[in-house]
Amino acid sequence: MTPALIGFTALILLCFFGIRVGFATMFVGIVGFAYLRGWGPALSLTGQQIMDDAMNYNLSVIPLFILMGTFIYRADLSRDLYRAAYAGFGRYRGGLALSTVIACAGFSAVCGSSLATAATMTKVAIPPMRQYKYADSLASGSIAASGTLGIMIPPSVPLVIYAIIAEQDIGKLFIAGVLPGLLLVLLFLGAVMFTVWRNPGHGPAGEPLPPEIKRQALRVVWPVLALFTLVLGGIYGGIFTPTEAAGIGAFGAAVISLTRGHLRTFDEWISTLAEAARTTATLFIVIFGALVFAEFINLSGMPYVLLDTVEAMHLSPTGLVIAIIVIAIFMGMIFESIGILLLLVPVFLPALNQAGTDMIWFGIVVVLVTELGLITPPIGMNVFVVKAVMPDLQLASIFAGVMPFVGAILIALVLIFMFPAIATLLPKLM
Amino acid sequence: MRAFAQALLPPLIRIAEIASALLLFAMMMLTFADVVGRYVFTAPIFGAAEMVQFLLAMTIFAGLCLVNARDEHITVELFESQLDRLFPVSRRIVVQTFSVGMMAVIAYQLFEFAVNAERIGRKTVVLEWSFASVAFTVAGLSVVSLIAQILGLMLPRQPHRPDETGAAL
Repeated sequence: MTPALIGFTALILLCFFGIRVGFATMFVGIVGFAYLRGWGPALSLTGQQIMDDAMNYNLSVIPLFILMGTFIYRADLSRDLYRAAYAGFGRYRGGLALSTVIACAGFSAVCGSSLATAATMTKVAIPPMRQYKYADSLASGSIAASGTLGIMIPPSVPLVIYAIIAEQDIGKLFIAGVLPGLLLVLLFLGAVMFTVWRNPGHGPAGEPLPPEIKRQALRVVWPVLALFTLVLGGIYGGIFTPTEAAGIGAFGAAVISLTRGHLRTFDEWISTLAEAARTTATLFIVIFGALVFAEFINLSGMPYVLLDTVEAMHLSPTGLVIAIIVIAIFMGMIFESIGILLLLVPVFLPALNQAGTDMIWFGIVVVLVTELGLITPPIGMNVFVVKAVMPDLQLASIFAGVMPFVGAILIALVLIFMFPAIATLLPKLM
Repeated sequence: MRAFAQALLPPLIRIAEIASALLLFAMMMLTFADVVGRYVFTAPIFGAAEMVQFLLAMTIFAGLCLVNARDEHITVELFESQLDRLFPVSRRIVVQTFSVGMMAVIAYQLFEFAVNAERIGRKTVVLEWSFASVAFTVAGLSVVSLIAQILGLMLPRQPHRPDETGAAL
C-alpha cells in the first residue's frame, strides 16, 4: 500500500510540475514496478504493455470515432444545427441558449468530443446571443456546459476507455449513455429556463422564423440523425461491433462532409485524417502510461487493501460509490476525464466487483462526474476553451454562467442514483 | 542547430502526416469494406480484425511523430504560469528532458520486444504474418517520433491552441 501511495503522490507532483501526463504516469509506473520486482521486469513489462495496447482490437474503436468526430467537426455542421435548433426554440425567452443546448446535443451525438463541441459552438452561438443582448454568463455558460454532453451522449471516448479498464461491453455502455444523455439535455434546458426566470434580462426572446425558412433549417437534422441512428442502432441491434460501427460512422461522416462541399482536395483529406491520428496518439500515450501505472498499483496490492478496508468499514455499495465519486470530484480539479478514469477505476475495481456494483451503471455515474470536472474550477477545460475562442469573455463570468448547469449535472447524478434504470434499462434490453 | 531543425522537421512532419493519414484511412476503409462484404456479399475480408490491429499500432506511432514535434501532449496546467515565472528556463529543460528520456525508453523497449518476437519466430494468429515485421515497424516509427521530438525542441515554442488541440477528446 505504501509504495502505491508514494507513487500517487509522486505522480501528482510531477504533473503539477508540468511533466506530460502520459510520460509521468509511465515513469512512476516503471519506477514503482522496478522497486517491487526489479528493473528488468519493469522495463520489459513496458514494451509488452505498449505493444499489447497498441494492437488491442477493442481500442481501435477510439481512432475511428475520433475520425468520425473530426470529419463532422470539419463539415461545418454546427452552424446549420444551431439554425435548426433556433427554428424550434428561438422565439422563446432564453431561446438562443436553449437552441445552443439542443445544437450541442446534436453535434456531440455525431462528434463525441466535448472540447470540439464547445470550441465550435462558441464561434457559432456567441455572436447571435450578443446581438440579442444575452448576458455573457448565460451565453458562454450554456456553451461550456452543453459541450460536456459530448462525453455522455454516445459515441464517447471516455466510455470506451472505461469499458476497456472495467472489462465491460463497449456497445452496452454506449446504449446505457443514451437515456442519461437525454436526461442531461432536459436538465440543461431546465437550467436555461431557470436562469431566465430569475433574470429575464439575461436571455431575451429572438425573432420567430417564417415557416419556409424553418423547414429549410430543419433539413440539416436528417443526415445527423441518420448517422447517429445507424451507428447506435447497429450496435444496439447487434449488427455491428463497436469498432465496425465506428468505421461505418467515420465513413458516413466523410460522406456528409463531402456532400457539404468539404474534403475536395488531397490536402484537406490529409489534414483531417492526420488531425485525427494526432489526437489518437495524444490519447494513447496517456493510456499506455496509465496502464503501466495500473500494473504497478495492482502489484503493490493497493486495490486489495482497499477491498479489505471497505469490508472492514462495512461500507454499503452505495456508500462505496459515493466515496469514489467524492474522490473523482477532487481528481477532476487536477486531471481531465480520461486521466480520472485511468487512474481511479483500476484501484477500486476489485472493491466495486466485490460489492456487486452494476459496472455499466457505475460507468455512467463516473463519466457523469468527470463532466463536472470539465466546467468547474480550477481547471474546467471547457470553460478555458470558450475563453480561448472568445478571449474578451471574462473567466469569472463563464464560471458564473455554468453554475446552474453544475446544479443540473448534480440533479442528474442524484436521479441516476435513485433510479439506476435510467442507465441500465436499455442495456438490459439488448 | 536551429537551421538544421528548420530544414529537417517540416518534411518529416509532412511525411508523418501523410503516413498517419493513409494508415487511418486504410483502417476506416478496411472496417467499412469488411462489414459491407459480410452483409452484402457474404464475403468478409479474411483477417480484417488482425489487419486493423496492425494499422492501429502504426497509426498511433505515426501520429506520435506529429504530437512530439509540436509537444502537444496532455498536461496539467494548474501551476504552469506560476512555475514559469519562478523557473522560466530550467522548468522547460527538465520537462523536455523528461519527455525525451521517456520516449527513448519507449523506443528502446519496443525494439527489444521486436527482437524477441523475431528470435522466437512469432507469427500472427490468423494471417500468420511475421509479428516481428510489425513490431519493427512500430519501433522504427517510435524512433522517428523521438527524432521529431528532439528537432521540435530546437525550434521556437509554438503557442498551444486549446480550441483545436485534442479537438476530439
